[in-house]
Amino acid sequence: METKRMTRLGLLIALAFIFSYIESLFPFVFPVPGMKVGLANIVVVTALYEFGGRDAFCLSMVRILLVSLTFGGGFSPMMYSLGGGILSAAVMIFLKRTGRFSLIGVSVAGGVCHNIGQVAVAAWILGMAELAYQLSWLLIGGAVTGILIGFAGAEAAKRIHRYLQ
Amino acid sequence: MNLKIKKADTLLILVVAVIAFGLVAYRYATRQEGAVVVVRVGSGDAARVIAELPLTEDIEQPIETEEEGYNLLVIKDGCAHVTEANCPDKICVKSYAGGICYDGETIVCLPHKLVVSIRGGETADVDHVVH
Repeated sequence: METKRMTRLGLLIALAFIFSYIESLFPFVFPVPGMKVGLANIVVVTALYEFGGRDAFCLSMVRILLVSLTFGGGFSPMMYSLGGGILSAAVMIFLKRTGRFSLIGVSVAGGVCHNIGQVAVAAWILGMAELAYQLSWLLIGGAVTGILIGFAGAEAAKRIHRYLQ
Repeated sequence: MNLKIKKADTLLILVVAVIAFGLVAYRYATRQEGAVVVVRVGSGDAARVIAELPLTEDIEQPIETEEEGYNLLVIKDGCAHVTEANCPDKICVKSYAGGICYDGETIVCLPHKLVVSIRGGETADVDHVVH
């Protein structure tokens, strides 16, 4: 791995990790179970657009592992997060490649798919397909946070773009 | 960074909104009165129902799950709530405002693999069955 890329990934992972930590400190209470702002996804979206899918995917996976091993609460939350993270990153990479969506659309799809992935893993682990019903409000939540994260990610990408050449 | 909203973005958001609100509306329109609170712990084949309680009777029932998990189930005024939990995120306590009252609704505490759900039908056959 190129030194430059390694350093860059290290920085991005640290940033995403800090965002997750900050979010865990604030008791955001949503009426929708499982809904989160997902501040760390700002870093994932920005990385996807500035450095490409490979970096965005690596960073997302390492962040989830780190969070689960520290303040995230261990193995089973990690499984749910991984389900969400993998599906969300894969779909975002794919949609970006089609060229038909702006960063906002990609981010919305990412937010929605994160929730779908999490609920799917939860339904599979608990063996309860009925959990899919939890998705109704979560889809709306995922779309709303996806829009917010998309705008924040676009702003961040715009501002750091010229330092990255 | 060119942030111009494209047609596909709008379409995607609309599709998600229609599906999501459709699901919410469907659930709301078809919901039926609940009768029994079913407490289920564990995952997949290892899952077992540890208690069935009538929704009509107010009660506070502590629940212990594997790995020293603890939740407090409260049944009050025809709805079930989880009011205490020792998991880090406490989603089961915070997110289900108003509790669950209708057939098919669930409260899930993912870290403890705990699912509290409401079942419809007759209460008569249930009287504090704690396995």
